[in-house]
Amino acid sequence: MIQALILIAAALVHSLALAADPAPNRATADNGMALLQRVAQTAMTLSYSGVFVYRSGEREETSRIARLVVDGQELERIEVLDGSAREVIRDGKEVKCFLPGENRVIVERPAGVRGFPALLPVDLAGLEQNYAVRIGRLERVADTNCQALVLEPRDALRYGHQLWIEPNSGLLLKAGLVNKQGQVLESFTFTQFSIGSTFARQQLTPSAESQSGRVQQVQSSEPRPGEMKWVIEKLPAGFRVNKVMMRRAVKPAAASVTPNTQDVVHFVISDGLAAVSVFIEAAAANKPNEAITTAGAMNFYQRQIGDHRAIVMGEVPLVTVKLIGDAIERR
Amino acid sequence: MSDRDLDRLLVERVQRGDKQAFGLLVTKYQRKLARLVSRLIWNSSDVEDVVQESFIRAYRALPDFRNDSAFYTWLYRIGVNSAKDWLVSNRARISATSAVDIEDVENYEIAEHHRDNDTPEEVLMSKQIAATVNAAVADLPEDMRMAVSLREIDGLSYEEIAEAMNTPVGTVRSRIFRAREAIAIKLRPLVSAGADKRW
Amino acid sequence: MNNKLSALLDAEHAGNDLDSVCLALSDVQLRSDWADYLLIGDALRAETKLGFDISAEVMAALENEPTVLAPRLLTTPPDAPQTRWFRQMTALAASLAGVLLVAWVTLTFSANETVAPTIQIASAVPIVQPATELTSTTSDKLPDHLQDYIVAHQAHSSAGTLAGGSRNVRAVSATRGVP
Repeated sequence: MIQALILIAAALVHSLALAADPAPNRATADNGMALLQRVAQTAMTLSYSGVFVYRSGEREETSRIARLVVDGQELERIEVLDGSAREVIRDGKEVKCFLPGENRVIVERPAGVRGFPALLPVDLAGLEQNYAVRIGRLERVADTNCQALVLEPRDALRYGHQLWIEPNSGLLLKAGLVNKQGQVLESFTFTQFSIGSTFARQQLTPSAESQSGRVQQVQSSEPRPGEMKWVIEKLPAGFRVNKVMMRRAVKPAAASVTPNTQDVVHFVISDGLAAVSVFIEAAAANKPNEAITTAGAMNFYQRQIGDHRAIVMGEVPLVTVKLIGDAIERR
Repeated sequence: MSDRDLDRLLVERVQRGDKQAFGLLVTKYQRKLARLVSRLIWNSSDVEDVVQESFIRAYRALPDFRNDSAFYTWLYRIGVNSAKDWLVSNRARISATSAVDIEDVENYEIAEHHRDNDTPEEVLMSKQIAATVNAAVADLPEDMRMAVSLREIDGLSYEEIAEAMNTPVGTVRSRIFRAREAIAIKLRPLVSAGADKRW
Repeated sequence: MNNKLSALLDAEHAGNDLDSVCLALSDVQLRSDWADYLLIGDALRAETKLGFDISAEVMAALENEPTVLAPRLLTTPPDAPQTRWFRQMTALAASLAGVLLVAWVTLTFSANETVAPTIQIASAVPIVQPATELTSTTSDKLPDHLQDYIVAHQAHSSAGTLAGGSRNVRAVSATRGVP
C-alpha cells in the first residue's frame, strides 16, 4: 500500500519524462499519470487533519491524523481511536511508534539512506512491465464522484492497487490493495478531512502516556566493506534488491532503554511498486525450519539457515515471499 | 427490473446500513454458493464453514463492492477464494510457483468433477424436499402450475408469461404467488425440522 | 405482504415493495416465507443441496460486525499554494506512508492479539516441488523484534522503491502477460 503511494509519486516523474516523447500506446497510462500528478500536487505542502478508516483483512480501525507542513518540514501525528491507545509521530524522516499498551516506543531513524527528492529519477519502465496502469470510471466514494485508477499486476507475484481520486481537488479519498481475485486485502478511506493547519498544536504532540514507554532505537547504515555475508540473487520475476543495510541498535543512553546489540541485515527488495523486506538475524535453530504467516495484506516467511534466521515480509502474495526467502544464500 | 438490478438495490440498502437486507441475499444465494464450494471441498461440514465465511467476507467487503459488476459474480469470486484459502490452510497441496492458482481451481470445476459429497441425511433431505415440491406442483390447478413453471424452470418474466398464457401481468403475479403459497404449505412440515438453521 | 415478497423474488415488484419488505424483515415468518419460495424454485429446477441452510448462522455472526456504511467526506477547499511537483509527491508519499504505517502496525500486531494462523512448513522442500506438506497452527503475537522489523520495512520501503538502477532484466523474460 505504502509502496503504491510512493509509486504514484514516482509515476508523476515518469509522466513528465514521457511528455517530451510520448509513444502512441501510452495515452491511457499517461492520463493516469497526469491524474496522479494532480493527487500529488494537492498533497504537497498541505496541512490537514482528518479521520480515516483502515481495513486490513478482517480488521478495521479508525484513526485521527494531524499533519503540519511548514517550509517543507513535515510533522505528523496519527492516533488510533479504537482499542488501546497507540500513535505514530513522523518528524521528517524519523518515525516513532508509541505502543503504550506494551510500554514500548519504536524509533526508526534511517541514516545514510537517500530520501526524496534525490532518488526520484526512477525506473518506471520496469514498473510498467509488472503492472498495467488503467484509468477506471467515475465512481461514487464517500458520497463524492471519484476517478478510479487501477494499477493491475501482470502476474501472480504481486497485488493490484485501486485508487479513488476526487477530480476537483485531487484528493485521494480511498485506496485499496487487491489480490488477483479482486478481493480487497487492505484499504483506507478518509471519512473526515479538513484542509489547513486549523487544528490545535497539541494534536501533534504525543500523549503523556505514550512517552513513558521504553525506547528502542535503531540506526540503519550501509554495510562496512566485507561485512555482508548474505546474497539474494535468484529473485522472482520483476523484483530486485534496492538496498542493503545493517541495522544497529543505538547504544542505550539510559537504563530504561532496552539494548538490542545484535546487528541485523536488512534487504529492501522491490518490483518498482511492491516492497519486500528481508531481515537476517543470528538465531538458534529452536523454531520450525520454515513458517508462513499471513496478516491482512502482508505475508511473512521465516526460514532458518544454520545459525541464522531470515524473516521475509511484504505486501505481496505468499508465493513471492517464499520465493524470495528461498533465494537467500550465504556468500 | 432485472434480477441483477434487484440485487444491486439490496446491496445499496446494506451499504446504507440495513444489515437485515443482507439476509435476503444470503438466503437467495447460499445454496448456489454451496454447490460451487462443494465442487472444491469434499466434506459437507467444511462446505458449510466456507460458505458461511464467504458471506461474512462479502459483508465486510461490501463497502468496496462496485455496483458495475453483478453481485453474484462478485460473491462467486469470494466463494472460490474462500474455498481456496481453506484448501491452503487445511493443506491440500501447495504447488510451487502458481501456489494455489485460482485458474486451477476453476478448471477443475469446469472439468465437471462434480462429486456428490452430501451426507446420506442431506441427500435424503434433498430428495424429500424435491418430492414434496413436485407433488405439490402436480396438485396445483393448471394455470398456477403453468405460471410457476414458466417462471421458475423456464425463467420467463411476468410479461413473457402473460403473453404466453394470454392473461394480464397482474394475474400472472397473483398465480405465481398463490402457487408458491400452496407449495409452501406442503413444504413447511418438512423444513420446520431445520427451522433453527433459518434466519 | 407475501404477494409483494413473491414478486420481489422475481424482481417484478412495484416501486416501494422493496422498502416495505425490508422494513418488515424483523418478522420471522416473512423471512421463512422468502426462504420457502426460494427453496421451491431450486427444487423445481432439480438443484441439489436443498437442505443446505446457513442463513441463521451467517446473520448471527453479522450481529457482531460493524454495520457497513459508505463514509461521508467532509472537505474544505485547499488553502496551500502549490509548489514544485516532485516535492508535492514527497508529501503525498510520506503522509500516506505514515497513515498506513501506523494503521498497519497497530492493527496487525497490537497488544494481546494474535496474528493470523501460521502455516508451518514441516520440512524444507524446494518450491518447485508441488507436494510440499504444510501443517496449520496458530501463532502467538509476534515477538517485539518482528514488530520493529515491520516498522523498518515500512519506513525504508518508501525510499527503497525509488532507488534508481537499471530495470531488472529478468522481468522482461519472466513476466507473464495479462490475458
